[in-house]
Amino acid sequence: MNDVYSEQVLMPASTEEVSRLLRAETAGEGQFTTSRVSCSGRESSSAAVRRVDLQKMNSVVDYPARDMTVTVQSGMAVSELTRILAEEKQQLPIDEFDRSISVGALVAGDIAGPRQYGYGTLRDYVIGIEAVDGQGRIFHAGGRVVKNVAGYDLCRLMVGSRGSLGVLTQVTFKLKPLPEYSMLRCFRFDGSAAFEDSLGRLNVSAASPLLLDFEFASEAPVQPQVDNPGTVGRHFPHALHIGVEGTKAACLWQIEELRNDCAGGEQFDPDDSTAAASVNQHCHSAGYNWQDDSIRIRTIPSSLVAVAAELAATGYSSQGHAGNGILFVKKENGDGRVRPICEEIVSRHGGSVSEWSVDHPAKSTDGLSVRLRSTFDPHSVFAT
Amino acid sequence: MACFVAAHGLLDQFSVFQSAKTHMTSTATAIINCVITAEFLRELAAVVGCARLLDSKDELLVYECDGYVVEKSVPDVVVFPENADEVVAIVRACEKHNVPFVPRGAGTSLAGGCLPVGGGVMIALTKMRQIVDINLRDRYAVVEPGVVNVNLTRALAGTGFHYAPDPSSQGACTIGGNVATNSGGPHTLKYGVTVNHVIGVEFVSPQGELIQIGGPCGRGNGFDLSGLFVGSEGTFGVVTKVWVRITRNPAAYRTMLAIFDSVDDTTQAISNIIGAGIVPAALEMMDRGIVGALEEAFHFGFPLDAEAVLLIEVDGLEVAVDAEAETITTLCKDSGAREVRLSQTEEERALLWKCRKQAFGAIGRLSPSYCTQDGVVPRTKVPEILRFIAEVSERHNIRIVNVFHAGDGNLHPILLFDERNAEQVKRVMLASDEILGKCIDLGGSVTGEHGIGVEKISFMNRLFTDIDLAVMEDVRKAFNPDGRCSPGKLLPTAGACGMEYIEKNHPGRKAAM
Repeated sequence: MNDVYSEQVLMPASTEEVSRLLRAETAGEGQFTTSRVSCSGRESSSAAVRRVDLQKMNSVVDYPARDMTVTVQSGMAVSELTRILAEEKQQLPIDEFDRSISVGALVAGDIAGPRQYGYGTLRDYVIGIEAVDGQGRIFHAGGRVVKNVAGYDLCRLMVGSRGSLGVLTQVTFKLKPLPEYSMLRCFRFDGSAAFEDSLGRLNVSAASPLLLDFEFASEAPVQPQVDNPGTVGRHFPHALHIGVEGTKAACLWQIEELRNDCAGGEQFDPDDSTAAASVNQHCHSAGYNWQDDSIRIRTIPSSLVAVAAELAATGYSSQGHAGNGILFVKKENGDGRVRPICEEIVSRHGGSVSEWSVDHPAKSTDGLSVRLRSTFDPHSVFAT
Repeated sequence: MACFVAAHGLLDQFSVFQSAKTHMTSTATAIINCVITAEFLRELAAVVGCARLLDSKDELLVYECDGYVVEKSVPDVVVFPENADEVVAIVRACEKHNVPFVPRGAGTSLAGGCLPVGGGVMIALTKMRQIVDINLRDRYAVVEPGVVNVNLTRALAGTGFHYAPDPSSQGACTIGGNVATNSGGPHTLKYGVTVNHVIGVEFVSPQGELIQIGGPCGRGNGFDLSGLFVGSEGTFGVVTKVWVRITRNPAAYRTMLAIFDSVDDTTQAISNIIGAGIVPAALEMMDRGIVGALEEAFHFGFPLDAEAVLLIEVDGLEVAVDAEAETITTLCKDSGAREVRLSQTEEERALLWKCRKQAFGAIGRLSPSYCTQDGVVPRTKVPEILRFIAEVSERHNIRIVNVFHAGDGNLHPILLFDERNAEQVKRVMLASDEILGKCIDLGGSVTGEHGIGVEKISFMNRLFTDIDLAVMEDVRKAFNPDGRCSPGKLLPTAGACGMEYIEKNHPGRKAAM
């Protein structure tokens, strides 16, 4: 992104400077009069858009580890935050796919990965914000304590607003302890009935998976591994990736339960294999990244298999977060056919279809969203 | 009731209010008359019928306050709609006649959240109590706002699921009220507060539109409006339906009672448990004062000579809970616990939780009135704030007992007094202000789960900057442009910017003042 807009990148070093930039923009003074400002760092942009890059605002403001909260400037890289928290055996359990992404972009984009099944999403972790609105007003909401209902919850409003309501300059998160141990297992299925039965059993499993991801192929998938003789000669178009965590004993116990829950499938990775993928690897793999050229479908989990099967019947594979009812469909080479197909299928099952580069909350046309947008950005300085 | 007779009776009184119109403040926002005419009452009665409309003084008195008894204001009329269409019609009538309105659940709010500031119409939602849908496979339920919190969990009994937010008042409070205040409860330490479990809301806007935000699939591609709506204390509209997540029951519990001879040791144990990275399902503290009242009420076998006890629960996999319980036991003993008892049976656990959740009910044994505060401090500041509360109690000669969510740093000091004694009321308010002020000084907040209501409006200027409040006021106007819905709540500006006349027309009163 820097390369594309290098001549237009604004790099303020403080919240007050962000405010000054936006006030100048609003007042039509100075050098910013004709430009509009994008702030999440991931926006699709027109040529007129300049980007506020907060990389100079990358400090820890407050990290009382024993309170299990942290306040950081939003230009800090998430990878750096992860490193700092790990020193105290703590984590912000949100999976990002781009290691260089900033905290502000993470929150503005409401980035969420596989572990949202067990841990929830950013709306469950952001407890305080500082931001600058389109008029240059520096405002705060929430605080630095884990429980706080004073004032309107602008934290939730800002999460996922994609920078259309303000430039986030500081965020306070509540944290979780790092797990002692985690395990990931993959089960493959040769038929959708067994696959769906397993999903039903997993919904009431005695185990507590923290991630429950799936793959649903439109045709024969990769060849089964030769070191797993039971799979030779069979096609397994469907797969589940299931992660658990806790003590080692708790993980091993849960894996046993998962075997029962997935009785209609084949365990793909032997328990004693050192090659078995880790939860960490899986959560940072690129396969579930909505920000690339994927289309995201949100439906209810019970409709997931039907939606995936209808997609497969039209030639499209899908993967995603089965426990959350989220599917991703690749949009290869600007394929214009896939979105209408997704929308047609979702119209029968309920849910929503979206593309990162096309759909934006600021484009919502309902009266409330329009009024809120106008409240925070009356002069439309934020790009959408 | 004979609502039309009463209406004509009221009509005579309204001549007084009509004359008050000349004193109304003209502002940038629309003027609200707060004049209840017979025509308006007839329109309301046409919507809900006479049997679901109250307008006689004796009946209205019941609705003059909620659990915050210090401040009172009688509504002019109370209506009990049975469905969303009726709520729409009521709100449209209020808009047509320029009358303020306030939604009300069970009235268990502890900060005056459903106080009808300036009178007007109270929309009581207790007859909208259907559980519309329970979808176990997709882990959500759809409920009307008047569903009592615990009734959803009861409806889920045997399914392996429950509704996680469990305020102490869950036997009475409604889910609509929980949405308004973003309620918490003991188990929110692990499972989160109401907003973490609400995925959609249907509400009637102050303009009388029926709007749905979110739903079974979450927020879709738009802003997280249901996240914003939760905790708005009735100032954005009247909730008519809520989509809530339901949560798998844990396979196993271990419930412990740790007994301490000093408050400092107790708070140290809290700090050590959280500092060790353990997040129990619940971590509640009760001091000597409250334990005595509970023992008298429930005969659990609490040690009456202990200075404080911790009620600690861990839950999860059977294979994991024993190790967690052992670690917590060790941490408590290392912090000076005299004894740590493990609940041996489900009945014992249930009684322990009954004691905790009905603690406020037991306060009646200690004093005729009480004021429950709701401060929050960073978890590690709990020892400091408890020492301060003890000092305030002594300085103002007001007895204060404590029962609270220690793991969250969410305090509930309970100030005991007699609301008929004006001098005591003043001291209670002073003591409350000092305690909440100290919470702010320690980096915390004045409310963790009860809301700002009318009680804590004066603290908003200390918690937030003028710009913060201006932005929040702008957000309120996006939903509720003329302030007709729940006036005088949450924001200091809501009582001063364009709505002062409401209070003047229909002044409330404070207990014994």
